[in-house]
Amino acid sequence: MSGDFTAAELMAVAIARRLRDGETIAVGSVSPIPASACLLAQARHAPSARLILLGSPEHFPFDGGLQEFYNFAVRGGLDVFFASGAQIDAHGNFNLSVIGDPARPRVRLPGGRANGVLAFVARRLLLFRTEHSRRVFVPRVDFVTAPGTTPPGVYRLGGLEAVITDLAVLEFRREPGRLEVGSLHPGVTLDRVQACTGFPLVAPAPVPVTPAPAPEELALLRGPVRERLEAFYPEFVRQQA
Amino acid sequence: MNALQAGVMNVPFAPVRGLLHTDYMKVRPDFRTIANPYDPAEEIALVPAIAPDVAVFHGFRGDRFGNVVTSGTIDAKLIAQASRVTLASVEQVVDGDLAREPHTGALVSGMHVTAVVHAPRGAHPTACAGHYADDAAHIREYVRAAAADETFRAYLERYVLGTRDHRAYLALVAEARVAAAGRA
Repeated sequence: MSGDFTAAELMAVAIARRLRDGETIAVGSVSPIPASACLLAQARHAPSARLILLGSPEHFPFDGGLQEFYNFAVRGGLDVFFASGAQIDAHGNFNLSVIGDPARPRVRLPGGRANGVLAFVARRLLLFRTEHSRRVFVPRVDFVTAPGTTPPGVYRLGGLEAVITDLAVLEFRREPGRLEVGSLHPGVTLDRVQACTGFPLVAPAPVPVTPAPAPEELALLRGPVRERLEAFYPEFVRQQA
Repeated sequence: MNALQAGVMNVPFAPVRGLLHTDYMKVRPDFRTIANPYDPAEEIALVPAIAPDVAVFHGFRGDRFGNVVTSGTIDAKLIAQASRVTLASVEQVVDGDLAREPHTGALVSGMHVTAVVHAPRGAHPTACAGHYADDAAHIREYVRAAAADETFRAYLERYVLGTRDHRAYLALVAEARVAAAGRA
């Protein structure tokens, strides 16, 4: 990664810039990068954003358990929801359930099924993945935890908007229902992203470059955001230091 | 979540938002799709109720009436109400009546709890909010062991079947940690 910032910092900044003031934003557990992006956005341009960061008691505004959060989400309470994706395909289908044959999986992943609901009810679903590789970006996911597109008549308040990785931002175009290159991170070529992606990518010409973090954003990330993140992601903060 | 909620309400199934056109509908023949009886143009997914025979959860404090205060994020109230028998292990047993004291977290009413067991560090190797973090090294050991039947049997033999009680389990875990620190 070029410049004086890490891939994690660039991802956090790219995500933070998509978040808007006043939005209600939820982040699943084991998601330190989106969590830091939310805290950054709140500290910078989205002071009235309401954050629900699973794993952080300070950012869990319910006392009725995950059930209350889930019911809130299902009624359309979430403007933005973040998930990762063990596998993501060209059509925006993602898999957080099982790798391999579903009848005899090689790996069974936790927490998939909630995404089979939340991906339908969050207005903007953002996927993040720190590993942009052919292992992740596959021609066809082994298991559809949530589909990129659904036929008319299916109750769906929103859906996939973009995938943010350590190499690029891929935007999901609902028409024609596929992932396309939105921007490449500084110093990353389109050839490299294509080589790390298991399906052909469409890209605008010229391809935009993801804006590098501003000094002010880095200062917030390394100062107050890191301090608040440390309370619920101590190991991540240690690795980043 | 809907399935447990159906269990709580003692109805046989629950309609669910989402799930349609996911592979869950393929691998779970008991998940069904029906036309919404009140709006036949809409399809909706159904899941069968979950009403466990026995539920076990870990809490911070418990009292003689079966009241348990626990983390507000683990849905203990839900599983306690959905299950026929509910067992709670707790860090601490207190003298008073938790239902009449201010508390942080969630109060699971003793009406839903069959028995309370005093078991400090009972959530190990997972975390107990405000008390201890998860034991990442032990969880890694468990994950490695769970990869094959033979290694998993060895894990069960060592930590579960081979330990006399909870205290012996904790002593064994502490011993393993010291040994690992010695190797590092």
